[in-house]
Amino acid sequence: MTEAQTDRRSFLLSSAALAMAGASRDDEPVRVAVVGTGGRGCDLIRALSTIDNAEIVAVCDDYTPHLDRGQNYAGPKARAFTSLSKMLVETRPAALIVATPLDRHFGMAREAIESGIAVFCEKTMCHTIDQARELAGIVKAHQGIFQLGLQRRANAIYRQAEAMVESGMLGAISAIDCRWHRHNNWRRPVPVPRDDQRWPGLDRRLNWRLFRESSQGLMSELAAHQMDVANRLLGGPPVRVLGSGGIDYWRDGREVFDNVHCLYEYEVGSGLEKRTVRVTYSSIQNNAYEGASELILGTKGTLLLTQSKGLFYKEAGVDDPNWSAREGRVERDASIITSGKTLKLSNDPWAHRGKPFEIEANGDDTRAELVDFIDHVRRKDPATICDARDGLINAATVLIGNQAMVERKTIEFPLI
Amino acid sequence: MATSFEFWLVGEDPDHLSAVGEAALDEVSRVERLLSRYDRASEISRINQEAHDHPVRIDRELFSVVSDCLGWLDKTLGYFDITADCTPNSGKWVTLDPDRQTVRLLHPSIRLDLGGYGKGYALEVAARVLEEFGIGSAVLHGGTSSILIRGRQADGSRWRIGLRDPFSTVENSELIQVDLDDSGISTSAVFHPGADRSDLMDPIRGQPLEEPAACSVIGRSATEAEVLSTALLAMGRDRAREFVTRWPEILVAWIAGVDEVVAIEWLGQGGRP
Repeated sequence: MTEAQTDRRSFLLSSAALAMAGASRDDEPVRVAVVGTGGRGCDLIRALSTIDNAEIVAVCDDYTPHLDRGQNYAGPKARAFTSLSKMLVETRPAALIVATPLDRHFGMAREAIESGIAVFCEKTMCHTIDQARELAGIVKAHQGIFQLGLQRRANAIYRQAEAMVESGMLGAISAIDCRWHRHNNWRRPVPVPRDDQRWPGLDRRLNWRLFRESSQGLMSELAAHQMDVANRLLGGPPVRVLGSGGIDYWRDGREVFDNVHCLYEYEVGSGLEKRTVRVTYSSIQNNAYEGASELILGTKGTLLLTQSKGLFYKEAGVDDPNWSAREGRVERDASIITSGKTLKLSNDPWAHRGKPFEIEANGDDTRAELVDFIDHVRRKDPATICDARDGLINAATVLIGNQAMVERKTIEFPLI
Repeated sequence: MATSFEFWLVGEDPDHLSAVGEAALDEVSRVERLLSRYDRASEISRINQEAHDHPVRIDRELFSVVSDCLGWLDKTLGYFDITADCTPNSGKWVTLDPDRQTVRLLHPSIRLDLGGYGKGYALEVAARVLEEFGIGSAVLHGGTSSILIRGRQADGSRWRIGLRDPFSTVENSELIQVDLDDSGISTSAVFHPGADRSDLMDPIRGQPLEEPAACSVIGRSATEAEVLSTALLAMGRDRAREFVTRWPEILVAWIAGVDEVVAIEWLGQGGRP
């Protein structure tokens, strides 16, 4: 554990040093424009406005209440636009933040990259795998700077988790269990009554997440974050996925599933070491008991990860001399059977967990991912913490999950 | 803030109410993430960790919140103080630069603590969401000590709020009920039931408050009520009685034990509701 921590610390120190080197190269702040100023867009504007070497020069949205809010957070110096092309031509920003509905990502990101503007795009990268493949090609051809908004990559807890897995603290990972369970209808409120003739149009606009033409549902909006964690911890994308999902509870006119369950297979290792790791993903909307978290199950330990706290439980091994004598357990365990060194059982289902080692967050990960992006723009470094290639792999991972559920068959990971 | 927030919304369309309620609760969570001193990922934590070493750039909302808090320090004659260590005149150790939108803490031991502001502010931010989506009748509260009321109940009557006996460990031991519409209400108490130590300070003396008392403020704004209930309690009854004569628009209940009986004194020109 100590070794892993030291490694992580030296890694973080070296990236901080790089960041400072970048900042000293040029004193002018990076000029940033933001398109899409709804809920997530405003989160990003607020975070950007706290970053010393970034300046928000313009915001853009075609829905006035959102545009007004975005401009309010961005400040009076930011110009407001309703057309992306006009904004890019008139303000010539160095970077564009894309936080629009999913179906708009491809065209907007392409327009910016082709104009030589760096792009930070909210997840998921694109509405289809074909679009993501094309966009990754355009970014590569233009040597553009692109970062996908998967903020767990900038979160200290997830970085620590990666270091722990790399250093072997978890042993061999057998399975990962990801879930995002909530108890609400995932609807944004609409500002006119339901019998108003504007309601259907406003509902489609504000609740774009619920309609297939603009969204890929829970897989694009939630699973993208967590399947990226699985891909990183397992060193690459899955080979195939099985899925089952449906609109089982919120039958309110939505078109995307409210109950999704996917089972991904990953091939890890090579030669005689080659084996399959299974990853489950679920998201349900009428029970919040398990919340949003990922459980990494390894032969030597278990990691429970959330955005605000991580917990590591060492797996009790048969050679662990203190297994039954752990603090506070001797009296409570009704029976402990020891037969040579082969078997230890307890009637206490929690006995194998022990006291967890806690990993704390040390900052807001949305701000951290933007600090990282701005730094890459300043240094003109395309190797962002989640580049277009990573974005394509992420999009393919979650979109084949949807395809497996819709078509009710096993889908192989595509050639990308 | 580590507080439970609960909202009652009144309207015709349950799906709409639920969506608006979730959006309003999201705003409360956002404000919590911004202002909580105990959340290491909050912006206040970033200020507390870094702003003594260098000016810290903050967003427009937090800048206006901190400015407002420093304004309240003056308006309350120093009794509303967001610097946690209670250095006398601590407001002068916090400087804001409006051009660069930065905050600086000029003393190494100064920390910002917006505990006496955050709940009222969070309720007002949540109420803006209700207004935006056409909900005119609602009660919102944070931990029951901070309440925001919008409009009247569905039958046209005002909302009935009970002021609890702050010294009783019995649940729902109400001292008095008041009927209100469009108000902010906040109650601060020197001791919480069951606690033997006060978590409220007299920022002028730099000492914890010791005299058992509670102060409820009813005003138009939840933030104002929140700030004044804390500040008046820190002033003590005599100074508070004098202070509120200049605040005719608020109602102030001073709750304290007199000869083993808990009594309410309504301070100031507002009188009693």
